[in-house]
Amino acid sequence: MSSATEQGLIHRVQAIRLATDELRKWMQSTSVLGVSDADRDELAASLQEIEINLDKLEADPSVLTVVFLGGTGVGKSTLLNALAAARIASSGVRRPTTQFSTMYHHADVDITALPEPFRVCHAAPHEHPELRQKILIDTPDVDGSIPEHHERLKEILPVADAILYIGSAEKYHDRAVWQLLLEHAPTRGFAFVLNKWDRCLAGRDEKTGRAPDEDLRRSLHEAGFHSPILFRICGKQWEIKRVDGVSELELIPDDFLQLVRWLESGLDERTIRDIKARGIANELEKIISIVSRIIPPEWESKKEHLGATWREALRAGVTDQATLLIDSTDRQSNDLERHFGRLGREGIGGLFGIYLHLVDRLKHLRGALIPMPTGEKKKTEMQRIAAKCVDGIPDAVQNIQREAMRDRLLSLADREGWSIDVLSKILAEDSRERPIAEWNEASLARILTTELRTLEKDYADPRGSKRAIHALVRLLCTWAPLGVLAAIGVSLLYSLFSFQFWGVGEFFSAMLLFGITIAALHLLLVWVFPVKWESLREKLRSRLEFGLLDQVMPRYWEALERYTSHVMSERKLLVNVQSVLKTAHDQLERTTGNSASNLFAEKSHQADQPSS
Amino acid sequence: MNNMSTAAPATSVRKDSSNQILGTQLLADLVEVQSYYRERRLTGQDLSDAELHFIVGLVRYLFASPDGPILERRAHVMVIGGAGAGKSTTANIVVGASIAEANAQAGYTRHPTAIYRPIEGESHADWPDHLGPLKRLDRVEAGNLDEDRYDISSVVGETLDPNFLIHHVVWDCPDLTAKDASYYEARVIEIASLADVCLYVASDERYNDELPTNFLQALLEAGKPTIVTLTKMSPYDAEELANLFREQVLSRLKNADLVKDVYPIPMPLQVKAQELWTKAFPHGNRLREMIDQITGDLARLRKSARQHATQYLSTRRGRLLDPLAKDVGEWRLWVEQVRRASNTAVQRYEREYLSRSVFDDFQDARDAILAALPIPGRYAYAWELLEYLRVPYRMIKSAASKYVDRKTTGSVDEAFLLDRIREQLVDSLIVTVSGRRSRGGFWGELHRSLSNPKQLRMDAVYDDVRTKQLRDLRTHQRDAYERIDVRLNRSPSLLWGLRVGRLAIDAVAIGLGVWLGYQLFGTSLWIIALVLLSLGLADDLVRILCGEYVRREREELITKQRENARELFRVAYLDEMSNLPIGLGNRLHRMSEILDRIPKSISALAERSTAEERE
Ligand SMILES: Nc1nc2c(ncn2[C@@H]2O[C@H](COP(=O)(O)OP(=O)(O)OP(=O)(O)O)[C@@H](O)[C@H]2O)c(=O)[nH]1
Ligand SMILES: Nc1nc2c(ncn2[C@@H]2O[C@H](COP(=O)(O)OP(=O)(O)OP(=O)(O)O)[C@@H](O)[C@H]2O)c(=O)[nH]1
Ligand SMILES: [Mg+2]
Ligand SMILES: [Mg+2]
Repeated sequence: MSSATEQGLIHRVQAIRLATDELRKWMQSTSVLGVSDADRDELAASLQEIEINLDKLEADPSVLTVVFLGGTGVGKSTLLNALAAARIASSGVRRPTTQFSTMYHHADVDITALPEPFRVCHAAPHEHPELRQKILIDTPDVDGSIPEHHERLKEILPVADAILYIGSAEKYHDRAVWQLLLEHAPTRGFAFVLNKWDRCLAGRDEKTGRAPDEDLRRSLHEAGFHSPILFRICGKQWEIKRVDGVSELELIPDDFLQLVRWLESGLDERTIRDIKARGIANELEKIISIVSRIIPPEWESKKEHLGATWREALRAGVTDQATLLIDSTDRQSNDLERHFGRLGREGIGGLFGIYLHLVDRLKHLRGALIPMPTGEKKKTEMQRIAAKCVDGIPDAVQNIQREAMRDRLLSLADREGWSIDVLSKILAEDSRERPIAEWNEASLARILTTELRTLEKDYADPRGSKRAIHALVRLLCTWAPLGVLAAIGVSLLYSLFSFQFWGVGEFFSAMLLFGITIAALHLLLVWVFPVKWESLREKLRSRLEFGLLDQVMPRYWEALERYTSHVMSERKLLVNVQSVLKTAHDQLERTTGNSASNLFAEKSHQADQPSS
Repeated sequence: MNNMSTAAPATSVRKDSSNQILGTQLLADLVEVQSYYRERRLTGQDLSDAELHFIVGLVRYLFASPDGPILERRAHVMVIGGAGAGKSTTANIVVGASIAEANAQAGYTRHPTAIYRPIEGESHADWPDHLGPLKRLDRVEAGNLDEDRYDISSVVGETLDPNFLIHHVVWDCPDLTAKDASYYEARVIEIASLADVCLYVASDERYNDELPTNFLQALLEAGKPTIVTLTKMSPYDAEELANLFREQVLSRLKNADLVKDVYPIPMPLQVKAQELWTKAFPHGNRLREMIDQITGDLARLRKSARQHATQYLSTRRGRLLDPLAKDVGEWRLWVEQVRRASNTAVQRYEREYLSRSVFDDFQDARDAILAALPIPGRYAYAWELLEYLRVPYRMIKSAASKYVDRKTTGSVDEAFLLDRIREQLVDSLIVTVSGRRSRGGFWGELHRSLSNPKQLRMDAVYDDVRTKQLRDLRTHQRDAYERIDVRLNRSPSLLWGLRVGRLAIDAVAIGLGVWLGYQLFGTSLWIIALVLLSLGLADDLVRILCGEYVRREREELITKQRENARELFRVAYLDEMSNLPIGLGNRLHRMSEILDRIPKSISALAERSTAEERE
């Protein structure tokens, strides 16, 4: 491997590592994106794979790890012994035999620098320079009845750059192994051994069925290996010959020596590099496709849309709430009418004032015992009434309305693809910070007080021409009765002085005049200061609706904004990672040669292959 | 081969009519569960598809067997094992001729083949056209490998022991381990559940493989007597391998006593596999003897098979039903959820509409009665007079009440309110469901169904029911009104009775007023005031009485409206939404009954087979 390309590879490793680290950190943080468990697991697995790959590259970029893969008894250990020409792995009749992996490596390779999974292997060093850059690993089985073996195999598999798939005469495409083959085919180079070739030959003259090597080729073709490297081997005879040193053995013709040649010189520097680069590129491809699956769409427009929908819903909800409040004020209309009536009377003194006071007492007989609030107390009167109103709304009704509102908003959000969980969490956080914005009893009372006060102010202290009219009426009410009385008095005096004493008729008509005046003034007053609650409440309703909406809308809007900013920041991160990985992937693809292409399964139909 | 000359037993030994009804029901239920699991992909984690199939098969052949004489009278022997282990070879050894296709391709045999020798009058047609999902293949045709079927190979030529195939059927079966076996293992399982005896074939390479061993375990637990044959080892290793098998495999298995023998078939060098089923080797005879020993008393064998099978069913019951119970549980939870929500809706309707609304029609009805009470005709002036006398009381009262009365709150628009209530009902359910999505498939599907308003039928049903109810209600209301009217007009005696009663009340009131006034004040103007007062009170009394009378009708109407609302929400929401998720809800409804029934059937079968054993 030329050091220039090596340098290039290592340089890319850094970029990939940074990006994947970021991805890993993102996975550990809480996300609002609602990534499915399947995607999450797949991504985690891929990230782990790629990390081991990168670690290996950094430890020793020139070494190729070849892991044996096969069921129990297919002859993996026998084959390794034959290759090593030494009994370094135990093989035998007992199934399963191999318990731990055996790593056959050159003594020069610094195995302490290799990543974690290598360390669980028995090490069997050698001095063959031809195999300097290859580590051969014999592994436990996948299909025997000791589950720990399968676990150990799955621990060691991630370190494989290439896999030597070993099948026997009867066990060349068993389910358990085949599943692993399919799982690892995209990201690792594969070569194949059909062992126990002697047994296959025994069935040569059978009339039906396919020969195992032919059958295996067919299966491999289905799995995407169109021209697989396949060695038909009788491992046993080579073990006997090379390990036990029985030299005068009559050998069944097989491909063992081809396998040796391929391992020694077929796997040259260039091929090793290509295998590695291709493996990493394919792994990256997987990650990129998962990431592009979970990248959320642009969220701003979704926010705008939901915001508008929410506003509509809130408006409807506010109407309901206002109705509730208005109903509650209806129940207190006596108090309210009395209060407003009193406001109207304010500033009216004299005889008419006394008259109004008496009427008020009479009208509100039930309340007559309660002294009229004066001074400071008068200011809190509205507050008291509002509290009483809100108090009068049954809790159940309030709760139902509040829940209805909340459910409405959340279900609208849900329909537009927002995560309700996240949204309600944000809302809950917010309500802890600002309990005021909730529609609870206190805040409803507050709103009602405010709006009643405004109404009160409008009523008692209006602006513009109304103000003048009010002042005029007050003046009239205060002075007109006095004026009439004075006129009567004057005319009485006049009659006294002129000795024309009044009879009953005169007195009666004088009193009548006074009465009519009072009645007329009363009518005027009622006209100018309408105290019937029905006429006031509609004004209050529209005010309440505005007030309530003002209070809650900003809070909900803010929740949407917060949510959106979460999504967008995650989106930014993912898009960034994706583009870094894509660049790295494309560079790897461009610089990878074809020397290892028949070791990899053809990508049949990868729909989500990233476009470059 | 002690019973080779005894005639095939004439009586049915597989069927047992008392069990059969139960068995058939259980089978139907299990098949339903099976297809449910398949559709929902629920098998895989705790319960494998294979296991489920095996359970169904056992019930089919042991308790519900609707089969022909071939299944009943013959003992069925099957070979089972990993790919290329030598099953077909072993079948040939047992048969004593080259019938099954043995070859080097691993996973070659794809369909179970029944090897038997037809006796007089027996033909293919005596075989059931279906064994569970397996179709009978009649003609030898270029078979489709993917088809679920079983083949029949009738032997007419020479075999080493011609009688054996008269009493037995030997089944050559596909493997369990090749990469495509998941597509065809059901075929093996079907035969395994039918078989009376199993030949478990394991090569030196496969004898301790996980998957076949699990199958062996299932066979033993279900009570199948089994003979283990070990193949392919060299003669030197034969004994060691048999020992290894006993030590490593048998020792770990439950019901290992059902393994009648571990029989190695070693392969000497220079010998071809085809020679193994010739006279040159003793294996055929040995195996046939062992099988005969087991199947000698077929009736007993099957009785004990039933006994074992009920135990097997009982122990697997939990695992069998858990996935279903989980789904049904979620569904029940959901239905409960909807029930609660629609109760809330009805309550809300009651509180916000029924308890507040004023029924104007019934004010009218009351007024109608009141209007009928005055005496018509010549004596009307008496009434007029009384009316005048009542004026002052009424005036004072209305003036007073204006000040004292608390205002009643305005009534609500029913349709509008109902729409809001409905909206809330659905909203609250959507929120709940969405929150539960992480709990798994059911809620996810539910959520998908709810998010697709086009497919939901609640609104349509609601509109239907509501229209009908409104029509009914209007009729009802009119009827009630008319009832009052008609009752008064139909019977003059009643009307006159009421009128006279009314007059009597007035008379009593006047009398009372005078008497009381006289008692209190003597002769004075106060008497007049008291008479006016008591007349007024009497009038109120009459009004109240009429109101009461009408109120009964009105309450009936309210009750009816309340019931209507309940029905409305039950039919349009509870019933409709129980059918969600679309296509699953109504299915689960049915499945929930099955879920309750299966354990009962199983324990009933268990009881019976214990009783049978005791006989
Ligand atoms: N006939 C024949 N037997 C072989 C051949 N190669 C290996 N064997 C035998 O197969 C048996 C299993 O060999 P092992 O090397 O232990 O198999 P393995 O794949 O390592 O098995 P585990 O360690 O259990 O996973 C031994 O008895 C070998 O002698 C061969 O080419 N032909
Ligand atoms: N050495 C040896 N070979 C055997 C023995 N039994 C069978 N074979 C060979 O093993 C191969 C597979 O045998 P089959 O009987 O077809 O195996 P099977 O279990 O029916 O295989 P499938 O139907 O493909 O699952 C054939 O080539 C047989 O000749 C045996 O005892 N020793
Ligand atoms: Mg080994
Ligand atoms: Mg076969």
